[in-house]
Amino acid sequence: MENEVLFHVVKLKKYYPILGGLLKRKVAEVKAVDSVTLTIKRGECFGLVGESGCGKTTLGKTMIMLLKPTDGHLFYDVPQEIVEEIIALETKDPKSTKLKQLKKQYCLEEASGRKLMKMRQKLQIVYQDPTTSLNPRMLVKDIVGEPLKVHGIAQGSERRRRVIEVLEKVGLTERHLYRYPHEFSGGQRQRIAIARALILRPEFVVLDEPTSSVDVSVRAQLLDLFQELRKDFNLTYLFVSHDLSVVECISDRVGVMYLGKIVEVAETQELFKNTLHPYANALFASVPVPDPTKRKMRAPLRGEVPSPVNPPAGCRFHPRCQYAIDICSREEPPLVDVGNGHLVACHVVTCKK
Amino acid sequence: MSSFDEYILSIQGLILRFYTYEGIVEALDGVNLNIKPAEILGLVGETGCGKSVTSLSILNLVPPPGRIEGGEITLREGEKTINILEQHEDFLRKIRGNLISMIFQEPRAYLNPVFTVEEQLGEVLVQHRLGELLNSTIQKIDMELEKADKLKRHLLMLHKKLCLKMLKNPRSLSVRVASKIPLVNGFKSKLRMEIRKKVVELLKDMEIPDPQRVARMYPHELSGGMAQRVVIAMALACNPKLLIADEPTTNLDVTVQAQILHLIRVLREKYKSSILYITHDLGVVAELCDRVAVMYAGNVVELADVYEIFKNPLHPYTRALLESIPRPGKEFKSIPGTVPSLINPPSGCRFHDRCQFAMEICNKVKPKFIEVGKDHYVACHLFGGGK
Repeated sequence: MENEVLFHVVKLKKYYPILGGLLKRKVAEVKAVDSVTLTIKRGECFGLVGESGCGKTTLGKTMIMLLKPTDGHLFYDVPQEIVEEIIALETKDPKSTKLKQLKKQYCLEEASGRKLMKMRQKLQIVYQDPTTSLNPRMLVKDIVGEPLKVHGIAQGSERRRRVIEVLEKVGLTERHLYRYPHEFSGGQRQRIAIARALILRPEFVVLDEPTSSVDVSVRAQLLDLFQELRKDFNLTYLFVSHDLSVVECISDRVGVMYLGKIVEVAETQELFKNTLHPYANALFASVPVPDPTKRKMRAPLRGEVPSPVNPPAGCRFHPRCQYAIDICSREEPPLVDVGNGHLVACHVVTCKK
Repeated sequence: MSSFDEYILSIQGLILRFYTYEGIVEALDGVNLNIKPAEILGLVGETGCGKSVTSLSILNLVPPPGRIEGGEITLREGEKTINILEQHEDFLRKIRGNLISMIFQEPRAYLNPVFTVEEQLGEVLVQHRLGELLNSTIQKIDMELEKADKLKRHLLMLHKKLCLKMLKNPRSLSVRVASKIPLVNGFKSKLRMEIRKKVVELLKDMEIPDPQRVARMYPHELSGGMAQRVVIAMALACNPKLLIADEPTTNLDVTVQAQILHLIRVLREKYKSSILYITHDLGVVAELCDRVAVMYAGNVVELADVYEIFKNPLHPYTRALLESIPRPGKEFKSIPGTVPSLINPPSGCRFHDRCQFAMEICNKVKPKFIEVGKDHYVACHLFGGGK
């Protein structure tokens, strides 16, 4: 049970079309998420870090089918053998009816209508900014109770009872039921958003930068709450953030994204101690250390993140990478396990090993 | 405070109040601060503690209903000392952007979206450095004169005359009329060329790749980091004595933040400006600053060397602040209580109701800001602030 994989993401792609010209035809694509393969274990908190615009949020939203993937597969709570079978069939015999059947039965991205509705109960999200994710004209009881209404699970006094129960879980009380979102502070609003996500008893929650809009002291409280809820509800988290110190504190495993690709995945301790990918290294080195004796006088990472419309060929980091070798500009490095589940996509690192 | 000569800017007992409908907000309550030549002074504190209004006071730009009700701000310019709060608005306009300039948190909000980078940067130069620009234009004309034939000579002489006239009085009638006449107004395009050269030079100093291209861009075409560089270029265009940076990296990614911090460090060496760096991020302070001033509820509570502050913090608030930094493997420690309302601030020491060392005297007498070690100032009764 401990190491059971809950979520398989296989070569997931999400491209946004850029429309142009007289007929508004597709002229280019923003490759927001490009061939991401990822596994998330049951009960863990998977941290996803990267700069703004690297596709973290898009990945999170695509995983729970809020955005339709362009390509790739999502397997939620599917046994390992079946996942392997589908992938094997895909390469061997992509047109077989068996594959079609299997995909229809197991792939999350094939689900629609009632089946998707059912899945949505298990997959929830908490957004970055609670001021925009909560309807200002709805009362707290309606906001938090709405998922129950949509899914036709409970109504009347039963719904009310459930709303109060979940509000108490997130540190609010019955008194708050008949209030509007604007009457709350930022931290409390985020608690309402969390309550709404949790009322359906989900198994997997995407936390999309949930602490970036609150003060430092409130941030600490929210992080405590997430830890607590994870135990109480047996949740699995995908924690998307650009704040490395927060991710380091809360996550079990961390993935580093750069320009739509995952470049390094490892357990938190391992990743922060033994960073391998040059980008991850540069990213971690950029975080200011609150200790003047440890000042970094060397020059920081140069240049800017290239446009995801036309990413560099080969390794996407190679134009900014100080260790880049010949092969980096030609071939895309695969994500390779270098031991202890530490995955890294870098030619230089894997050549050395 | 010790000998005044070593500071380029000194703030003494600054009192600032906002007269709002809810009541009088005592935003600054006797702030003392001094800045040495070519140093980076960090000003840290929580939201609403008065960091930003302190910096606005230095430029005498506090918006109504705010009013400066006491204290002194003196700026040293060579042998002269200028008391900023007593100066006339016209004189202050000459200081702002010239001797003292400022960069803000949200760079795109301070760039005009309908003008190119070049036009906006050029404006600063025209405002404060027109003389220099005209002189170099005249030199250019002189060089051309040597090679020119007879007809062109006449035109160039005319251009030179107009430039000289502009040097005396930029708004003179003849200059304004001449700038409307074709061919004669050629002196303007020569001046513009000079400005462009200077702008590109400035952008190059900011480590902007391809400065010629960036100069012709509009603000929306720039990334956040680029826009911040342009704003810094604008602030440094006139080589100011003091640069005030109000949380310039708060909205940027960490990698871009590291680039900007590095740039600020390099520019300090090059331009020899003092920098007042306002931030709430103690990591940035540790990385960048020479000295640190800690603010709490409208008071500077501690001022010392950056190594001293991190190694030997004296004021209980500074200690609590340092402990609240999230560090992996350690518990978050938050400061109990909340920041007090400044409409009815606590009596005596404003930190006393959250302070674990509070004594009886703390809620009665406001502690004085005294020097307790070499260049280490603190305002706390624990260290004899009552005497």
